Amino acid sequence: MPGTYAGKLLRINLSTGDIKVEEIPEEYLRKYIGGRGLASYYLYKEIDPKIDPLSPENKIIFATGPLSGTAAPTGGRYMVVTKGPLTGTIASSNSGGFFGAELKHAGYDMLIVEGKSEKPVYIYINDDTVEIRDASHLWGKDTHYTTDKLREEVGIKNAKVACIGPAGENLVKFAAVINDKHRAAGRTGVGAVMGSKKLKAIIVKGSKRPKAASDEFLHVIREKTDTLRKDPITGEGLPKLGTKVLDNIINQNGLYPTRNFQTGVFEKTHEVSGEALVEKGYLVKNRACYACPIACGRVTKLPTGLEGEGPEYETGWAFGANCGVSDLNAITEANFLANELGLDTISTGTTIACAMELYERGILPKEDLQKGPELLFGNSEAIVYYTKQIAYREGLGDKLAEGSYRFAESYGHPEYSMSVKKQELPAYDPRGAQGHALEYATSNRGGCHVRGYMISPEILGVPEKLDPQSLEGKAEWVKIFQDLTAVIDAEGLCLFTSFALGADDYRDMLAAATGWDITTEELMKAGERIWNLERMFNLEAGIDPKEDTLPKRMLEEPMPDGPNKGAVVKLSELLPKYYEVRGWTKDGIPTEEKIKELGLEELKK
Amino acid sequence: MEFFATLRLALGVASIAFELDTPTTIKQLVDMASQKLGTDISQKLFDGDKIKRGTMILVNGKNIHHLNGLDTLVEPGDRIAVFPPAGGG
Repeated sequence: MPGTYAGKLLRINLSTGDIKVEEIPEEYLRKYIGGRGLASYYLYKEIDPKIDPLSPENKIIFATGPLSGTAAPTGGRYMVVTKGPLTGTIASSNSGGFFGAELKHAGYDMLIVEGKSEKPVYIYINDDTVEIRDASHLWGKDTHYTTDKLREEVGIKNAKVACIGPAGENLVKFAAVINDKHRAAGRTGVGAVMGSKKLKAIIVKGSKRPKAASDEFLHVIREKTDTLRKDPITGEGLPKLGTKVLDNIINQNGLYPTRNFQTGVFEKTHEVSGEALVEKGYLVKNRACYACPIACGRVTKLPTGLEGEGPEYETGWAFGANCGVSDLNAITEANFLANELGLDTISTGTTIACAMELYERGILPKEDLQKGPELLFGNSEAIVYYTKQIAYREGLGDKLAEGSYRFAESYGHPEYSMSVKKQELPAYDPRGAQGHALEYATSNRGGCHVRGYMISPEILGVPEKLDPQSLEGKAEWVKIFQDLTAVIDAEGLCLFTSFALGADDYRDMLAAATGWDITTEELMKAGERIWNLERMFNLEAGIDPKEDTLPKRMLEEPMPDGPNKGAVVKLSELLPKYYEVRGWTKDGIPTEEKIKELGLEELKK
Repeated sequence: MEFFATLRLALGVASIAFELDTPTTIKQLVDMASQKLGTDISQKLFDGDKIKRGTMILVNGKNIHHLNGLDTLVEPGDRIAVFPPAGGG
């Protein structure tokens, strides 16, 4: 087995109780790298993409990469790959913390969970000892209680836990998997898939350290870690202010989505920004994930006495500007709740924002609130109240739990859902960055910013500054960013490393870890292969390429004010070019030649 | 002129105002800011005549990269936002 791979996967069938360990052929490893790539390959090979995501036929894969669990900087990442209930697309959700590294240390590159249990269970993994155990006493409990209780029960204080909260149990379409209490495989509703299988948690303890193919590995990772430490973004900005450094940047650039994306400037940003979190004294310290020199995590304590982690940028925005709320206390409290109940904060906040717009427009009648607080923009009580309601599917929460698209559609106005492929958009108004808009429209898991973070060149000026309103070269940039991100997700590293590292650096680390004589070109080809594989899965699942689009507001309503006043997304010009750059037909379908070039013929069903 | 992120935390100042009689470039304005603050902020923002990679200077929300760089002229009433290199997601 090459270097830092475990070379094995653990397969658990919850219907039959079967537990198996399988070898992973090296050929697959080199072709799909690991993590998001390898797991997507297994999922596509093993399930019919047309199945109901919440049926026992769906599988859920917890996958590490070759650099997960090693000393490579940020090597604590893992992916949760399954068919997603929110979008109906392939869903892959990435998380940090310590769980992924521990799974690798237990001796597995991946855990594949199949079938469905009759009663609530959890999976216990301690190196080679693997058991399916009763979790009836944990059903209904939040993620913090579950984590503490499980550690106590198995008698291993530092075992790592990934679990769902009430939201996952109640099949909320955007329920998250929470690991290490404060880290989330947040997006696409992967927590609901665990819930549908009656799988409450996985607790893991491992003692096997991955061994690199050569001693050169230590030298290489020392060099990359040094680069990250010296970089002004990963060495200074992110450690000091966390991701919330972005609030002011994105607002000043006029693409900070406000009141359900009605405008791109929030007049109260100074009250909720990363700077405010520090200046108000809420920030206690920062916290790092496994092997991370950046440490962007925020440990916070509110004047009310509440303590937890967060908010990071997306969460602070989703419950803040997007709901018109400027009360940092309420925003942080909603964040803590989402972690404890197991919810994706972006979709939770954006779904509440959508409901606020429907209410203010008189489309959502007051009686439907069932005595809940009024859904008015700026109402801080509402964000906390409805977050709880969603997790338990109580009152209006039952409908909100279906996500903003299905919610708005049920009132006859899906156009007020700010989503792509039914997944809520994150914290950048696409009218302020044309390349980022294209990335939203084409993301394989629906509205998402971390499939190709075009904000980096278009707004932040890294690796170079592009004009955000220019269309020139944007299709090419989006393709490269999407392919490179797939590589990073496959290797088991954090996307934030890419502020300081480039494709050659990811090649260097993989080569030293595995002993492979791999070129940057081969690595980027693997990224392209992963992207096309996901696209093929989605097409077969019945996702029409016509869904490569954006909410009507982004295409037709000019930005009303701020630096991007008058702008709309010019998708009709960007998309054909993107399909061409991808080597797809003009209808957005990978050609036979492209599929052959990438060696994906065996998957074409 | 408003300062953000680590620059604001380091300076301990959120913003300063200028009274301008003549057309002034961003480069001149940063020099004036350094004098007012008693600390050379141009060192933090520029590499010689160039803006440091990732450093962001906005005039009314427009990045000077896409205006006239450090020679961009500032007029009375303009709002300048200055950010050191930053990222997140």
